[in-house]
Amino acid sequence: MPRTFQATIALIVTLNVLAVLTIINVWQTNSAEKNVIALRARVDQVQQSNSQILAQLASGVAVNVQAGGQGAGAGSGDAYAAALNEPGNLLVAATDQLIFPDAKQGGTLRRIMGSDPKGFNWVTESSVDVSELQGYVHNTFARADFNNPDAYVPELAYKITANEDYTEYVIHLRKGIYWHVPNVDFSKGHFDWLREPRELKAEDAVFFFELMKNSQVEAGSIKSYYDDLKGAEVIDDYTFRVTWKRSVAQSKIFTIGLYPMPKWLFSRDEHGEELPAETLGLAFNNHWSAATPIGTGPYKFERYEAGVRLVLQRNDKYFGERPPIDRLEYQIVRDPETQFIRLRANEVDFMGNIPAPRYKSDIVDGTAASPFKNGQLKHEVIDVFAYYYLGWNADKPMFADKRVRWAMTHALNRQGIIDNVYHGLGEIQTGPYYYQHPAIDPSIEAIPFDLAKAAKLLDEAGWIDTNGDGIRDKMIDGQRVDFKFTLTAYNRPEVRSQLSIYREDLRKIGIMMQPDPVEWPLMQRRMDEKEFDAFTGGWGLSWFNDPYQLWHSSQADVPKGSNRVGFRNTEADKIIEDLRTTFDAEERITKLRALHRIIHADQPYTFFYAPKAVVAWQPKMQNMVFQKTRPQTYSLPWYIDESAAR
Amino acid sequence: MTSYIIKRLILMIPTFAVISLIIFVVLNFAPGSPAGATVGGDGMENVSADARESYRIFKEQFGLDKPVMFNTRYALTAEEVTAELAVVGDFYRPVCPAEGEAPPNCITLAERPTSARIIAAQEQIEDWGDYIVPHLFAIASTHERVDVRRQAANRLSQNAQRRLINEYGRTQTPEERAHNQSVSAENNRMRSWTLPASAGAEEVDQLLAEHWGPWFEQHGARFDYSLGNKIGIFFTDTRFARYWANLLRFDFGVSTVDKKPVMATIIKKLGYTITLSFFSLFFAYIISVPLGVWSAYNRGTKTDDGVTLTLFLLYSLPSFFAAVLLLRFFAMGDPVKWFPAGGFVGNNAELMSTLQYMQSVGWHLLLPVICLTYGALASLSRYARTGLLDVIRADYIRTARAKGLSESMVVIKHAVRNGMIPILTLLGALLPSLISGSVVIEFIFNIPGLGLYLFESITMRDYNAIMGCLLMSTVLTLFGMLVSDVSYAVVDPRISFD
Repeated sequence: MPRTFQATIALIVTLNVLAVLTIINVWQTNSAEKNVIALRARVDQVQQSNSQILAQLASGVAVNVQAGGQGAGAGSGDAYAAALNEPGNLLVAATDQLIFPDAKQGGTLRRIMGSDPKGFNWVTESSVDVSELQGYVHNTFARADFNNPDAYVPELAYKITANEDYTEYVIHLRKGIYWHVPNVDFSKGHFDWLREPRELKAEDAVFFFELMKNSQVEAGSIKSYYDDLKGAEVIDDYTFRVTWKRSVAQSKIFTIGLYPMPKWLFSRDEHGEELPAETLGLAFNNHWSAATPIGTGPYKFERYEAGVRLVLQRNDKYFGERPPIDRLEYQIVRDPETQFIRLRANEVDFMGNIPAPRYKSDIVDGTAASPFKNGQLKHEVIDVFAYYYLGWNADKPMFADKRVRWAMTHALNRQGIIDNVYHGLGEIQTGPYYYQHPAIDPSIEAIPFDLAKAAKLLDEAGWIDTNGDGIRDKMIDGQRVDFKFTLTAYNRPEVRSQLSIYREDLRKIGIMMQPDPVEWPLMQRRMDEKEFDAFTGGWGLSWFNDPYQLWHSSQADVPKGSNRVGFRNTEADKIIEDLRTTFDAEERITKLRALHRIIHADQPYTFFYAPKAVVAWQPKMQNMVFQKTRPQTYSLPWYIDESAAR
Repeated sequence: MTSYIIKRLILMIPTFAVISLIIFVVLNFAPGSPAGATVGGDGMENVSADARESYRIFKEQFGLDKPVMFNTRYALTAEEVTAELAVVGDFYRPVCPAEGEAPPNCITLAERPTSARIIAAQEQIEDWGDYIVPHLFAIASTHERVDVRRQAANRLSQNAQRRLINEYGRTQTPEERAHNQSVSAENNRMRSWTLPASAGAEEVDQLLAEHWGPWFEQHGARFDYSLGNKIGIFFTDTRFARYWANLLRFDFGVSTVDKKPVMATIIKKLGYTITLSFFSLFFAYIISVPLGVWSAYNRGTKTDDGVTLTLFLLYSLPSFFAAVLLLRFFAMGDPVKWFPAGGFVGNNAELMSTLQYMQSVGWHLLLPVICLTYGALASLSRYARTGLLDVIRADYIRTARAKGLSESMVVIKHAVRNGMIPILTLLGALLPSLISGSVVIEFIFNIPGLGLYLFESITMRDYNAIMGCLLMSTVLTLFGMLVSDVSYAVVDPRISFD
């Protein structure tokens, strides 16, 4: 055998021996390592309970309040309940029994998040997933009652008063509410100044309003809502006053429905040094503590692994009624199909939106073997607080005539599309509010799908096929114009199929519609620049309706304004302006209904449908109640009963 | 050889610079901009007011208000500024009604600027920053249209503001602090020197006389640029200069999405992607080389045809489809749940010992590695097969046989060693693919790797993140090419660079 070949063989053998030795080595150290890990876990536990004891000793108040509040809901049984009956208090007692008295305690709720949150600075981030987290980690001064979203119930504040025209609010905070301790790495010594839990003070509340007034703070569009804010001032440690320049209806929600920000944290750098006031706003936008956000709420932020998971841990010092579930674990899974596989594989407990094809195959057409029929999974159909529409550009001569817009609505087979494209997951929408909101005028009936009527309206509007090419035409400014238009659409498979149905129906009445599915950035640019004939859109809703941005004529002339369709109606303008200074709930409903009637008669949009979502969960989840308003899948009342597991 | 490598390494520097320039320019001129409002997959927006001020603050932090390559803003003329201001002014004029009495300063519908034009004009004036302060002051003082004068005066209170120093850095020196204090006090004063939309000529005059006149007298000299200043501004006050200045300090910037340093994120994600790609490459080679050798040796037989057919069938089966099928059958629990449904490692990774950790990762990675491997088998084994076929008929193989060597000795020692040269050098070319990752597989198996990160950064127009990822793969490609060239010389004594 040649020498080189022998050398090669020898090398390979040596490498193999080395590899085997390494494996044996790892194997041996493994058991030692296991012991170390177990020890470390135990040390962590001891440390945790130690710090808990220390914290309790240091803040005797917190212990007392905890003992007093045991088993009682926020603002129901405790000393603050009496304040609700004081005259002038805007707050009322909660009617929603959030937590089931016999709920089993403990357990981890594993649920899904569809993408990574962009960051956890509660002020600069406003996306839906971050606000959902905020709802668990933090508290507002007062929140809307889930059963009656027009009423505000106490959270951080026990009493809120306002002057007659709602330009001045005085807010009284509960005592003994403590901020979470930020979950930073305390092994780095410079974080020691954060160990001590701090009490929520009025200066934290005022700090939020100061941020809104700070010209360096980048807070998306929220800042515009505080243009009319005059200022906020501390009265004493637990009381503060907010003043507005003018009497505006939304001042109420933007004064009491918001989250205070810890001033002691955001005005300091990592080492606890005071940040220079001149650059505070810029530092705030990029603040180090946003990686480990804190609040006062029922859950503490524990851990975030980018692209993997986010964990919240129950706050045992929460001032209100504590939720039964110990930990909330959000697994970050992008693909809806993989999400569903995780649910089926029992790797998650709850899924907020089953893909529509799965709903069709496993629930609607499900056989006995389907997990939803054999008891492996449970489901419910809930409302998504939103609606979809088609917007007509009223500044184009084609859609300037409201008879044409009515014809377009008549030609859209809404029920057919909901049933066949969305498998029944939708409700026909007739106006700009949530379809079950009292502001929807009950006398308005949905415009039916009726091609004959649509054709008649088009004839009346002067669109007649004069040259016999099958397409209606009309003389506009001395030119013969065919009824052809492009519908800019958000590129989703369902939208494409719904538009092909619409296109076919329009063709039958002599209209050529060309769908143009585009991605969001391009779509948004076209809408901002008003470069469209018509488009598909969707609006998320809120219970409090301020139609100003969508429907006031002034917004049609603002660059990038939300009144993209160019809806201009003096009567509607009057109502919208009145609404801004109307505080009485009944009166608001009357006015909102009047606006609904005007919008219905004018059809600036073809209101399409309010979508529904299918939520599904493992049978061990109990007391699965869903809220009407956002966040619908708020898990506070839920609990886990392992004995009911499949 | 050493001198060759050094020469190549030195050549890499200009190559890298040119590549980075091209990427940077393409990226910055591509349509779309960072921090455009995002929308979920459901196409739903939330009603919100225009976030104009927030967007300006954002642009300033990331230098997006600067020109991309060269800055000629010092040479802007009053006419150019007036044209943009007039557009803004025209937009706010009432439209002349078709009939009835027209308001005095109305504009006909045809003349009215389009929404696109007004948005562009506003943006342009904002981006010009303090370069146009003297023009704004002149226009506010002398222009014949009152509405344009008012626009100019109001713009002054924004454009004349000065930037702070070291404003995002952690600690400021006492001098910096003092400078920031005085600048911020001045900025705050300026912010209130504005006019309401109803202001007439007298009010504009009054504001200028009271505030802007004295201010401009005091600070006007700031805007007289010397030639040296102009050259400095031309090259350095740009996005590109800013980016490169940071790059020389190995600072890749912070992400426009989560405001965290890009490099830290990339390195974290690199671990996932490299592990995945390394194993798929490793298995692809381990399987395909012997397979290629075997099929070359049994060339033309039925089994060779069968293997070839199977490999090409696998090759044409899309990996995303196979991935979903694998998950459906082996991870869902119907029929079996042998593997976890995606992810890189199980829960509580920090509580695992090394062995458990490796087990868990292996368990999670088996399905994605299968998906990434089977497609590469066909091409790699083809390379191996052709490589061997090329040499198996060579004279020295016949000689080896003739001198009585055993058949296995002939194939393994003489044929394979020579025949595998191309496939070895191919490895160098595959190096960059180690980090580029596979978007689809990472998406379906929910592995937070670099491929997915790059893809999402592109959709969000996160310039710094895209640059970071691409520069990283540029460096690896350059090194990969060097390695593959050098490996030629190492394995084949006939090739020499000296």
